[in-house]
Amino acid sequence: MDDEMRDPIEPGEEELARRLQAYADARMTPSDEATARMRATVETALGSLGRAAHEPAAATRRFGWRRSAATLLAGGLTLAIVAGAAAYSTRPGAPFYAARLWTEAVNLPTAIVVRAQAEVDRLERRIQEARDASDSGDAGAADAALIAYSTILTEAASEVDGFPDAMAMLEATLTREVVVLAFLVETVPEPAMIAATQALQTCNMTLDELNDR
Amino acid sequence: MGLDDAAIERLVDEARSGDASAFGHLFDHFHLPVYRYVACRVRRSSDAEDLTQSIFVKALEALPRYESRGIPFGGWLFRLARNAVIDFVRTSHEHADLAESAERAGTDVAPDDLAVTRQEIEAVGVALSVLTNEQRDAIALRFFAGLSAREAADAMGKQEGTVRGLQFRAIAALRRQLLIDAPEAGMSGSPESPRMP
Repeated sequence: MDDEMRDPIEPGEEELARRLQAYADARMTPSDEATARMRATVETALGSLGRAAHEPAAATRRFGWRRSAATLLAGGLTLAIVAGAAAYSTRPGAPFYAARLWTEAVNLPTAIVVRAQAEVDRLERRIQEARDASDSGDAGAADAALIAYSTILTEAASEVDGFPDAMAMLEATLTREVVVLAFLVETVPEPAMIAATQALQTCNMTLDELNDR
Repeated sequence: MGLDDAAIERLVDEARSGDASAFGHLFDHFHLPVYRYVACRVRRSSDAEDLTQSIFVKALEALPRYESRGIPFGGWLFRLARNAVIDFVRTSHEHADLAESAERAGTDVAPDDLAVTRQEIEAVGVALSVLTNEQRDAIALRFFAGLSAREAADAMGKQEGTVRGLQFRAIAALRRQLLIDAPEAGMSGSPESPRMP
């Protein structure tokens, strides 16, 4: 945030600035408790990465994980996934599923079109996971896979913005997946229905946005 | 806010290198502006809290990909925030009704923390509610979140001049709604005004 922006209100607008500031102070300021809760959530996200990396001090040293540990985690998890040794613990809804998703995310390539393809692959994996879970009646796994689908799609849609090739690739994928999602909404175990509906909504909205761009 | 742009970029580099304490500092620096931006767009303070923390978790997850976007960290973070708010509003079928929010939010506010009258506070809520979504975004990002015009433009995916124009029209609309007299000639900002940040 640069200095020139600090006061977006013109000279002569002091009365308006005063009222907006009073409104912000009264209605748009989190309580200390709310701030503590938000920070705790972020710390938990950081801490979970640290614990997954088997860093001994992670549980007691807030914000204490290092990239080397995270890299080890990514590498370790990738090997485990490839070897199939950790297949059970990284399946949707299992304790290390979030770590698996994170591993996928940190290993995404940087070149936009290649990254878009990788994101498309991730979306298709989530769809397949949701279908498998739905077929086997595993509501928790279906729920986790569909929630992950919505999250990945939101990120992917933001990433491809302004890149026509990547946008077209994502749009083609979503055009296929929207049909599967509509089917899942009708067939997924009831506890996962909200996640399926939200995934379908996110897919539809993203398609609308891609068409509008 | 306590951190200049260079310090923020240094913290971002450290966080990207795995220094979680650096990300903690970024949270401390940005959580209030992000919360205020979100609170300007959603009805419930609980939703603002949930969205704010989810935005920072998303930022943490996406940080490895922040590199080489050519966008200041603030603009990038608020782009995440804006997308999150848009998704939330759409999926929850919520439309920010700040007039309603103003009535309801009174329960969250201690009576002695208002330097001006409750009526005046509520009038601001009503005035904000009549802005277009884009005008409200511009005010939320520029005034409540404290972003520069460039950062706000990055967050909104618009040209800087467009954001200045939205801000100018939003301020004019707020002034009309709140019955605040226009500044004297030459004092009022315009999109082309050299004083307009």
